[in-house]
Amino acid sequence: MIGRRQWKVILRRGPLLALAMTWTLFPLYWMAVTALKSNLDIFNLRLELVPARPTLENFVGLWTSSVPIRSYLTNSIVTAVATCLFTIVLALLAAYALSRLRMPLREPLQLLMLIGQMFPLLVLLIPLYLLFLRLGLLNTNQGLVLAYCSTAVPVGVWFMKGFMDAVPRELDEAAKIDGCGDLGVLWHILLPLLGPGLVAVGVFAFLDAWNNLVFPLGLTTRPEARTLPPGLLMAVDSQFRQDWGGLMAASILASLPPIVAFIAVQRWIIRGIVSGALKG
Amino acid sequence: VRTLEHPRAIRAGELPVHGRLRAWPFTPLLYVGPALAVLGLVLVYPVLQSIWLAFFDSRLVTPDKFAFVGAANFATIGGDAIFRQALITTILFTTATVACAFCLGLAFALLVDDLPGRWGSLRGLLLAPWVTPAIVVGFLFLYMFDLEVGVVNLVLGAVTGTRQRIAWLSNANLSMVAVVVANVWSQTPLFLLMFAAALTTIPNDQKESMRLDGATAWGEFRYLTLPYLRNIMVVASLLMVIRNFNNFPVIWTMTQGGPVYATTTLIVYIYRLAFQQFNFGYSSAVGVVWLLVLLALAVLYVRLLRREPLA
Repeated sequence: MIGRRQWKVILRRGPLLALAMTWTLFPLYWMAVTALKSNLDIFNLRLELVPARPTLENFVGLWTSSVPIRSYLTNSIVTAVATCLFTIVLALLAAYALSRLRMPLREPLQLLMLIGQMFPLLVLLIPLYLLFLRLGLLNTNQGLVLAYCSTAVPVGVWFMKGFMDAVPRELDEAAKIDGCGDLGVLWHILLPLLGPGLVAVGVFAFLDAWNNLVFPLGLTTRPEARTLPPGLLMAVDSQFRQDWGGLMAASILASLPPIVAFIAVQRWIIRGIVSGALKG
Repeated sequence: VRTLEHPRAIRAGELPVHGRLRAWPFTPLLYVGPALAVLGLVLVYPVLQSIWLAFFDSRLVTPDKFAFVGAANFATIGGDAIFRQALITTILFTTATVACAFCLGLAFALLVDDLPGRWGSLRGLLLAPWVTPAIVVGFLFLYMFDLEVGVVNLVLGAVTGTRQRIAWLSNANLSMVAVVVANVWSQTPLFLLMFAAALTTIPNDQKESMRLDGATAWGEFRYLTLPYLRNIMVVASLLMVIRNFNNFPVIWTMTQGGPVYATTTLIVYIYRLAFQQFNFGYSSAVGVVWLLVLLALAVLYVRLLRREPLA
């Protein structure tokens, strides 16, 4: 129950909190409202904060549109899920070595993982384009997943190492005395304790792939090979030209998976972000 | 740390049971192998290839003219007025974004700090822009700053009572404002998140004793909160400077670097050189220069992290 002193805190901060909420949530609210309006109502040039005649025609329009939005959506889902799984496996193995085992080159490898997160993606784009052209990976989902790994893997390794460092070493030492090998320790001891870490790394990789614009923009040339971000961007100049309702409906479609994923794992991923960003 | 002075000293993670395997110290590298193989292909190799390309005249429109030109591409940068303008634009864009998002993030973090009971979940709502994809942020503000139906102009019209509309996105100065506003909206949550985390590290008894001593809210902020936040402020700002030096989607979605070159930051310039003018060699040279700048910042960031363990 909230006491009197606490009500005073809320009342004192109330006006500023309301301002903060308005600044943060109004654009999202406006997106939703617009998606529910017909273009006739959008263009009537009145400030209509609640749709007078709400309609789902913009969402229906996405499915019947001439732009292959369903291919974009499929490609986005397939590449994001694949990047997520791929990154979890690679990050788990690499983080185990960096966190637990003594080995040469450890310091430079850690630096690569940390600095790799800060490279400008765009500088990688030309060489990747030329490489994928030679390997026949342009316009393929496999190619996109590989490219996404250039940021998802360094970040994933870094997060995972943070989570792994938090597991007491005494546990794996005890297991080793009982005759467990390195892989055994990873599988039987660490994996069951790393649930939050796996989720945080997985969600991060998923979001990174889902939101990526640069790579699919440069590495796909055929419309049906595109993911949602470049696909919608191209559509702004054609299908969605002056169709704000349709564009906002498509934006909601593109925002839903990240928002659902975030709500589901909010607690864990925030811990991951904070520990990943704050602890060197 | 154990310091047994024995030839078979036991260190953490290294037990004599596996002494046989340890004979070859590279075994652990096998675990890093898969990650390294992937990063080698999509991160290390492209970086090296970029550096290599920067020394060639390589244009897609004249593929037969692929020729070594030494440092000529780098010399071109010196006399490139657009490069200079893009550099200034980048610094302006980044400074404005980071400064505004920093202040808003700090204010929001203080506002939601210690909110009683269920009100604490307001923090989660304030994070919403953070999970909104960059491209959606771009579309959203493209729409809100639209000349005719944009809500910004509608509100301005309603407040001032005039019918005059502002062409936000086709005016050189205003387009920068619009892009920065969108970017601040999208990045404030990250500052909020980091500051809120650091605020929880302030011990409660110190707050209590300050209040008992009759400190004002400003005094508490200045002499208790600020010292606790100083490190994270430096680190978060540097991290966001690095991010915005690389920021592409929001600008590209809203203005494509225009009107003309008004919102073309260096990263947008690199893209336009490569994928609009197909001048791979020169684009790579600009990219390499930018890579070096970011490398220096990244090293600085790592050293800051290592020197001062945070939170």
